Amino acid sequence: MEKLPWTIAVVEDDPSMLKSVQRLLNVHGYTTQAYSSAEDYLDRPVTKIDCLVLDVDLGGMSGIELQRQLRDAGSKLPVIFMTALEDDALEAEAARAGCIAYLRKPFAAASLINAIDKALAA
Amino acid sequence: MARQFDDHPGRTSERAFPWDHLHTSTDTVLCSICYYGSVLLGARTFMVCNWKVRSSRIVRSSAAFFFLVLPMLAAGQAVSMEIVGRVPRVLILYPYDERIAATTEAGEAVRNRLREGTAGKVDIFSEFLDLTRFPEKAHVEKMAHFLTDKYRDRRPDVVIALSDESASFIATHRNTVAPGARIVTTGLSRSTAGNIHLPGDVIGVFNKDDIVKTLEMARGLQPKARHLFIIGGSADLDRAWLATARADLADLAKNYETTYLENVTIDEFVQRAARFPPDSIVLALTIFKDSTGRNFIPREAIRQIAATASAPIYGPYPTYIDHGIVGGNMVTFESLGLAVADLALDAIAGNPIVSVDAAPIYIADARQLKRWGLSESDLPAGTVQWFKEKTLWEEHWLAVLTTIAVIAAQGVVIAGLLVERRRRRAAELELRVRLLELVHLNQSATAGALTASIAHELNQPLGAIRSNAEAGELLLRGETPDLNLIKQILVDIKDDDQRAGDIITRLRGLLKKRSEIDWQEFDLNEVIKSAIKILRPEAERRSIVISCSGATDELRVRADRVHIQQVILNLATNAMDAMLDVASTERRLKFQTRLTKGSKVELSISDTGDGIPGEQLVGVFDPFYTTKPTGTGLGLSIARMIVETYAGKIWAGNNPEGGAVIRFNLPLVRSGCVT
Repeated sequence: MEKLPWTIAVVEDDPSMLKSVQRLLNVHGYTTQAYSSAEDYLDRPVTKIDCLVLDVDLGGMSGIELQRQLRDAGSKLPVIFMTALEDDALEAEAARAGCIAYLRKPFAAASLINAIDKALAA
Repeated sequence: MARQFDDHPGRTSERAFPWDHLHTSTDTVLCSICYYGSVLLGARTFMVCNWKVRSSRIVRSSAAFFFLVLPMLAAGQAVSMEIVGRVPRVLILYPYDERIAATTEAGEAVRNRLREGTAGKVDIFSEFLDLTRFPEKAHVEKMAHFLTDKYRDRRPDVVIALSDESASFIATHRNTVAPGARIVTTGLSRSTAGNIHLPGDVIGVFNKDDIVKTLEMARGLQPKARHLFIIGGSADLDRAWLATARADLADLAKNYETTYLENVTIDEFVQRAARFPPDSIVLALTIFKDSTGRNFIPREAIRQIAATASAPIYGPYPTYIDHGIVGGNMVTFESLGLAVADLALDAIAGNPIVSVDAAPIYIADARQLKRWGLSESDLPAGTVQWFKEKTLWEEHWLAVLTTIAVIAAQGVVIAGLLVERRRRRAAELELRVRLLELVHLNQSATAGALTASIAHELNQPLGAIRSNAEAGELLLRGETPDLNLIKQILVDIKDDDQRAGDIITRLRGLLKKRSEIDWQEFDLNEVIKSAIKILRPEAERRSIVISCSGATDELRVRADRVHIQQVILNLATNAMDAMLDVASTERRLKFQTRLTKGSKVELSISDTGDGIPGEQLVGVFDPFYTTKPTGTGLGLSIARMIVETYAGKIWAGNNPEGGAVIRFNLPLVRSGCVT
């Protein structure tokens, strides 16, 4: 697969899920940056990130809270939420916060790639 | 006129005694007149008027009768009974000395019956004539003179003569010893009475010592006997008995080799008896004297002989029983005494009396039957057995009845208890079924409450599997697929599948339905870990920090693992619900184990919620107690039922630093150590 010029940050507290998403994006040509929590993302210096793939339920600070903090800080970074939770209220809250897509695990690879394409296009 | 007698104490009630009333001299005269009148009219009996009833009747009697009998007073026999203002006097004449059991027993029976029949209002005198040891005429005359003088001022009203010797004596000396007295006798046969020419007004209870019937009894018991020995002493009475036996047994004796053993010393009796052939019948008559003239009490002589005898001995007297004889046809001396005493009482009361015949019976000594191996079934019908060992029932019937009653009562109680136990078991079984159903419902409710967490937990590996699979698929489309990466992807897929499988397994355990309690030993720590795994996703979702501490050694308990897990889930989900209003940074769910006294393990589950109001601590385990708007109020009550089913205890409290703590304990199968 041709290597693409975009870097996708993945924030996921489940190591296995984090690894598989990162691997999926890499296979599709994206460069990935992995974070195990929202705090981890905030703590580590962010270089060039084109899109943020956020797990909603991160144990400590949630994905939605992270997105809210980033937005409040002026970030325009497109965000794609993914979650294992079956909670419609959370999806609505994520939509209000502003996101490209809200993916429920397990999701198809095409859903994630399409959402990233959409985010990058935006 | 002869009649059989029987022992009939009730007869005394029919008598009325003249000394019960005030008598005047006129009374006495009229009484005498009455007597003589009855004699003239042919009555054989002596009558004493009962004045209360009869005096007026007699006064009203015709003058013709009075004048008809009056001239006869002088000519008639001077026999009258004047009992005026005193109790009657009865003289008992014993023919022998006091050692002779036969007459002593009869005399004692006479005394007892007389006292009983007169309520003690009787003077009884006894004289032992000793006529066997002193048969000489001079002695008899001296005795008559002595008694005449002795009773001069106390003339007897009735004389009871025991045996023919006594009867003959008093018949001969009645006019001097006991003028006017009525004479009754016993201990002799009618034929003997005739032989000694007893006067017609002497009334008796007659008995016949039937040695033939005694031999018949022996024949029945010893049908194979070939020898017959008849033993008797050397006194006149002994010789007379032997003569009677010879005559009476003449026919039956022909069936045996018969020997009359007489005119020998007591030692010879004993020696000969020891050499009797085993197939011998021995009849013992009386031995008042042996050939040396030595005096004996017959039964004591019989005892010596029987002690060494090599064959069974039979006899005609009940006093020989218990002295070595097997038995015989006989009349008991006690019964003779009672019967003759009744005659005396009737005579005193003025009732008519007639002679009676004593009915002999067969009596056997059960111990001698056993000694000689003789069969009880060969005894004549109606034989009375003395010294027969009583059966358990005869001897202890009250104890047996009581025991049976007690056993029956116990049986009823035991049956009742068994029925009760059966009912209780059925109820317990029913309760257990209901408990199991309830627990399962509770499990389902818990699973429902944790659905979101379970779905979340399950979606994680499923999501990873999907992403990995699609990444691998894409790799394989390339011209030079990175096989190492694909291999790593497959390993990760396998691990995530395992992870999802574990979640499903836990879910299955959570929902497992029991039809019976699955008793098993397990480590409580393992169950706590398993429960935490189920709870953790939900706890994380609620930002609740779970911690676990306490005893790290194996804590083995015996129960149904699924049930104990359910208790932990119930308590933990309650605790998590209690922290909904607490700041997310302050939500802590703590599991702690510790060993307690009595070899139990205690698990406490505490939260950082608001705690339980003090007044509600006792009622939290009651059914339908809940503080949650959507709660059923069954979680804690089911937890208590489960814990108590496994001999544990559960209680609630509050932490000093805040929040509630629920504790329960379970018996340890094996003790661990506290850390």
